[in-house]
Amino acid sequence: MIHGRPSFDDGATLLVKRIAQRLAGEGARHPLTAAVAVAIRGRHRLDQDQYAQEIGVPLEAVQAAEAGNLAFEQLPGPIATRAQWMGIDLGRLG
Amino acid sequence: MTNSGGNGDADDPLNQMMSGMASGDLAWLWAFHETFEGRLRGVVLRHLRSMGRHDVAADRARVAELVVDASMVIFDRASGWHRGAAMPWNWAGLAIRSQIAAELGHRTTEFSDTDGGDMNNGEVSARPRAVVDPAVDSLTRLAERFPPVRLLRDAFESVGSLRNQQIAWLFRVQKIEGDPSPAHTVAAEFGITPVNARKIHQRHWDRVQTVVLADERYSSLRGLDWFAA
Repeated sequence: MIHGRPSFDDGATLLVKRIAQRLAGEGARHPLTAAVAVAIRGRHRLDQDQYAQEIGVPLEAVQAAEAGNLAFEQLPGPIATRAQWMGIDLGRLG
Repeated sequence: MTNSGGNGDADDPLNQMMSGMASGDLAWLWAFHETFEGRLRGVVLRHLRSMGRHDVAADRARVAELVVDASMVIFDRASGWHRGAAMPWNWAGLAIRSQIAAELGHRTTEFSDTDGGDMNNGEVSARPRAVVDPAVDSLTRLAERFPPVRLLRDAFESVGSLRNQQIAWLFRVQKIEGDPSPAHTVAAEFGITPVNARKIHQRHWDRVQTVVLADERYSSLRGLDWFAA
């Protein structure tokens, strides 16, 4: 049984970087934060509508996060909390 | 859950992921990578070993990077995949191999499994080996079993150089398999420009068509869409 946070995963961290590069190319102001937000929804295997409902966050906030309009400290709480459990080495992303 | 693919098997996780990726939703790329990372790693390792790059295959971080590349390759081509086709990592196998070769700056010549004797402290000697082309190899096997395929192969091989035949055939295979940019895939595989790949493909098939239309031996092939006059 896992009690603590998962260890960092090289592949997960790399993939977030690649997603961030794509989003940066699309003009995201905060591509790394957006990539993390996208990854979290990916883990839920839900589209934005259902995901927003599931985590209790307005759809607009999910869209803003994934579009790169929010800095990490501006992420809605339910998304920011989940970021710590993704196996992504957030320290390496900066 | 959104399934933009419109197929009748919306509950299949793979179909959902491929449909989601086809719509350009990067969250499904994450889901795909997370779910199939092990399968993708196997594909990447197989390619690395066939290239004789056991040194890279033993490097966990490099392999993780190449697995991410493989996921990205499939994401970029997802709109061409359809339910019932080969598994995505096999369907996009050539493109994945080309991506690996490009990342490593490596030739795409295959080495057989018995080439371990060439290894020396993880380095590979430069002893050349024949290029093994999976698509051409498949055609050869099909030609042995089916006379019409043999006829097609004979017509196809009656013109052009071996290299141009391989380029033209791979281009056609990639196109049929739904590769949205076969010119780029084939170009990366053969170390030529996409423009050249396209030209070689077009010129070769034009020449094959001329032969098929002129030579009575190939008259039964004229009914194929490929050779419509």
